[in-house]
Amino acid sequence: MMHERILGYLAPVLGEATANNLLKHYCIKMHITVEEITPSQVPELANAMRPMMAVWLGTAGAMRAAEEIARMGKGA
Amino acid sequence: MSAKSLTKPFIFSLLILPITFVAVMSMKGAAAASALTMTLFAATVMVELFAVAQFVRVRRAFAAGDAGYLTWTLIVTFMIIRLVAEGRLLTLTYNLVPEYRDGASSTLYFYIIVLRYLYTLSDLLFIGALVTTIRSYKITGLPFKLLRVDYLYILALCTLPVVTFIFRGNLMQAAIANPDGYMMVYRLVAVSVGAVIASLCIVVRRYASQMGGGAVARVWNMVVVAGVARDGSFLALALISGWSKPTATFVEQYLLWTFACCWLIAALYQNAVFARAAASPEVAVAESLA
Repeated sequence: MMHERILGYLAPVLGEATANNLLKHYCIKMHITVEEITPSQVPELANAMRPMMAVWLGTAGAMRAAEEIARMGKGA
Repeated sequence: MSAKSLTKPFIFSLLILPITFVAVMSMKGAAAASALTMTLFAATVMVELFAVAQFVRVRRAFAAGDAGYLTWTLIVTFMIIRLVAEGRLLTLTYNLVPEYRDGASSTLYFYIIVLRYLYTLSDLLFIGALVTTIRSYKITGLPFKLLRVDYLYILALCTLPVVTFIFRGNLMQAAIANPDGYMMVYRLVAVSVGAVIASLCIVVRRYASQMGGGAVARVWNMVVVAGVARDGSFLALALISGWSKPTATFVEQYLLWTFACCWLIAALYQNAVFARAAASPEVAVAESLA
């Protein structure tokens, strides 16, 4: 499942609750269901999450994290 | 140097230092115990020097427009000003500057009495860093909220300056360097500012706990322990110095040692956050399991 892979990547850094809330927040914004994220939606989702990730990771860190998440979609 | 590798020696030091102090105090007397406290003070300054180097690294990792940039700029400035203040205190502790007496030169008055407030200035910058951290959490729009019990904790912390004021007589007696008539006012100011720091730490601690673990929460949990240890040092001094001056100064320094080490570990954790964000998902998950 795509969302589990994204959460597995984000949770060790941002914490389980924040990672969950972050993903839900942007899925609602993109009108998609968390459990039904498709690999093709991942790059756009990763890009959308970037500004909020920058709060804790900085712009450069968030950019790298977004790239890694986007890569999950491409690799799936 | 990683935060994990530093945590075990730090915890060990927290156990061994009081045991050493009690042993030295009972076998070699108050003078030797005070020498141990002074050595711990010098070691604390060394840790703060390492910490500021790590803070600069963390600050560099944030871009100028990032929320974390302002926070870590305030933290770097806070620690640099604190180090200047520690340098001044070292000269007093090791008697490199004459003792202040009424009628002393205005230069000496400035150096000993006025520059003492560098600590207060650095604490105000620490407050600024905590406020910007709280703001960072809030601007995410995620559900970070205080609980009712937190307001009770904050209320309890507000009583700290009152307790210190009641025991203010003790504040004159205990000082690592030579005390003077102006010391009490400084310590009352410091404990009041410290109560604000500890209150803000409660807010940050609550938000960090609501993250559900993770490396970022670890950073702010360490900062919270540092903030509480700093405020606790003043309270300990006020409560214990009436009973035993060497013990009071040791406990104060022991809490400041905790403060410095927690800051260093927090900065190392923050650097680990950046490293983990840059790692591939497989590496990040493997590291979190290790």
